[in-house]
Amino acid sequence: MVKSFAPRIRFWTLALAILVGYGAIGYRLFELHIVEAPRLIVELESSRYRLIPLNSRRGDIFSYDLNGDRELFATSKTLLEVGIDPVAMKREDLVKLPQLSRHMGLDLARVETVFGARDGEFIGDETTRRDRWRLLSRRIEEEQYDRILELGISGLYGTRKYERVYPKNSLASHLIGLVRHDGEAVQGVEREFDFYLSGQRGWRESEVTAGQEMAQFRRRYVPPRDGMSLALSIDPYVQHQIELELMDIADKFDPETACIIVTDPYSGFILGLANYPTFDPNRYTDFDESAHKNRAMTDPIEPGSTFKIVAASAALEERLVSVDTYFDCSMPTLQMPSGYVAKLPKDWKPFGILTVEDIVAKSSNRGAAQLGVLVGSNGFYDYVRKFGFGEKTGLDVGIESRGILNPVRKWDGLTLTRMTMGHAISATPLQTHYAMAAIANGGLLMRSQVVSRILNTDSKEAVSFGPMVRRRVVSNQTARTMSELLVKTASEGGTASKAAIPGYQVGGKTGTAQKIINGRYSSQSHVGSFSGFFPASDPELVITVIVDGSHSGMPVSGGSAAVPAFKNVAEKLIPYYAITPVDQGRAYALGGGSH
Amino acid sequence: MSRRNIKSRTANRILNQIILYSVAMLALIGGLGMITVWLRHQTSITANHLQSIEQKIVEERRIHAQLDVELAVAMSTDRLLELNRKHKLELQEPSFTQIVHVEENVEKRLYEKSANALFTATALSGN
Repeated sequence: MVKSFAPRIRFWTLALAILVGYGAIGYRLFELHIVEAPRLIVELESSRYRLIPLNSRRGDIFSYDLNGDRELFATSKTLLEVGIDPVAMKREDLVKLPQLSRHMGLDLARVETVFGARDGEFIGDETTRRDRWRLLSRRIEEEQYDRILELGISGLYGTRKYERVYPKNSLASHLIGLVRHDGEAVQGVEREFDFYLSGQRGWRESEVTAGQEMAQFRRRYVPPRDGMSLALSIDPYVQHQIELELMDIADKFDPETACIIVTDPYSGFILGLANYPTFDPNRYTDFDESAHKNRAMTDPIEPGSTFKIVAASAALEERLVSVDTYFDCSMPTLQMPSGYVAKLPKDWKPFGILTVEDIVAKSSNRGAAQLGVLVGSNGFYDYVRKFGFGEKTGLDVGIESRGILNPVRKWDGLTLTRMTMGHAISATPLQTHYAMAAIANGGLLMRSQVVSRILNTDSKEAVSFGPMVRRRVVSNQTARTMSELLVKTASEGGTASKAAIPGYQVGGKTGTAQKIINGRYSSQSHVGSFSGFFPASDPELVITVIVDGSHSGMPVSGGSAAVPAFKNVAEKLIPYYAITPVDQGRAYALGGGSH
Repeated sequence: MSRRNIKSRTANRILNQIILYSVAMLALIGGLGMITVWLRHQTSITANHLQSIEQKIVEERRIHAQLDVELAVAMSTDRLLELNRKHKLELQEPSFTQIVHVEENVEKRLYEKSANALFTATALSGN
């Protein structure tokens, strides 16, 4: 009986034990995977799940020098935001704080405050150190960080971030613009091409434990895309030279503002554009907000006599005059087609009979007014518009002014005679420059451009920008005739004779406009300008210099301030671009060059 | 063989089988568990390895970019001018006045130069 009972008991006991065992495991599995699963998943996700953002690197901005080497104007480098985790701090590390403060360039007192310590001891107990992050410094260089890490301070760590660096400091700062420390592009090419430069941040879903990512639990991964790079048309040498020239102008005249623009007349690409006052984008907060303005595009001023090219070109293009047609420039009044007798503006010196050639070369206000009257208000207005006044030049480096050009219906009886001499209209230096470039290149108004290419991260060309013609302003023949007249202006007997460079056929026009102060033309404050090009038969460069006012009271005029600057810049660029002198006798017979 | 003995042996056989299957199942599940752990461990090692390679690439790129910045700063015009002043190198840009324009016909001059060399060579070889 005992023998037969024992196995049965053993059997059922063991079977029951196994059943209960499996049952318990099964129940626990059911409980974990079904009943408690939602809560456990939430708990796990909240403690270990991390969405890790991955920063993209902002693209570079560079230009090529004559050797084809890249010259970096803006790039990104890493800086570290360094702080401490108070929970992980150790008392024995407090003796290293003096060294840490030296490496970080911070006051010891500040470092001790962040650590919550004084004289090598913590202030308060552990309950006062429950926060997990205290900032020490936002901008620590990599070399500094290496030295900091060597100290081996527990709980001290840094987070890398990209920051914009401008290796050439203030060079071309108005074109390049800037990215603020908070990462927002606020000016220049940086802002206008932010879409291409900024790239796309990536992200990764993963799990983290003890501050370390568990790579095996990575789920989704969207890689960051670095920004594209921009190739600019500006030449660092040209840019440097015009900025040096502006510094000389600033020393001599102490102007309110000044700017120099250099472009290729045939492509419209900017080779250099500088403004005074300027700023260093690396230290943008140290400079006055007004220094950040790209005045060549934002500040319209009365162009003065440089604007006479419009009246002369219009009259020649409409075949109303030839270069030899003469006008009586001694007349103080002129009867308009409407019968209104307009008082003509005075000339800078009394003139008698002048040909069209002389009107341009000697810069006669009365002569220009008579040319304008011949063309008529509507006709003249059309040419003013054609030359690009009253509209943007298209330069993509920020806010641009259209200038001020009133429609004919708002003109009074004097407007036409004043506008022909560059008053009663406001234009940005860039507009004046491109109008002159249209004469230089044979009559085409080009779009102003500074970005020549956009390159992807493999330095392959993504977008390429070529010359863009806005419109034909005058015929090639009229433009050539105007070029000849402008060469005479910059020759012996012309108002810009000091701009002449022997052998280089400089053509250009000076301008000296009275500034409007308190609603009236000032006899003390002037804007001096010169816009010219060379060699006139086959122009390689167009240069415009504008000097606005003088704090020191030094008289500013086109001839005294702008022309010498033009000549200095031209003389530096001639050897740089190896521009060959022109055989004066053959120049125009050659048919205006190879372009 | 008695009927009771037969029943007892049958129960023992079933019991032994249950024990055997349980042990086998435990071994199988344990084995599978071990394999899973080993696979996860390998996955972890590979993932960490990949991560470290990835970090190295990022670090190399960062160092490369940092070097580019340092080079650009070191070669900036301001810096070069400062070095010129500091070391009194007296380096100056070529000025326009240093340019000498050749007024004569360049093609003719080059032709004569080449012809002279040719004639001189012919004369020498003739001797």
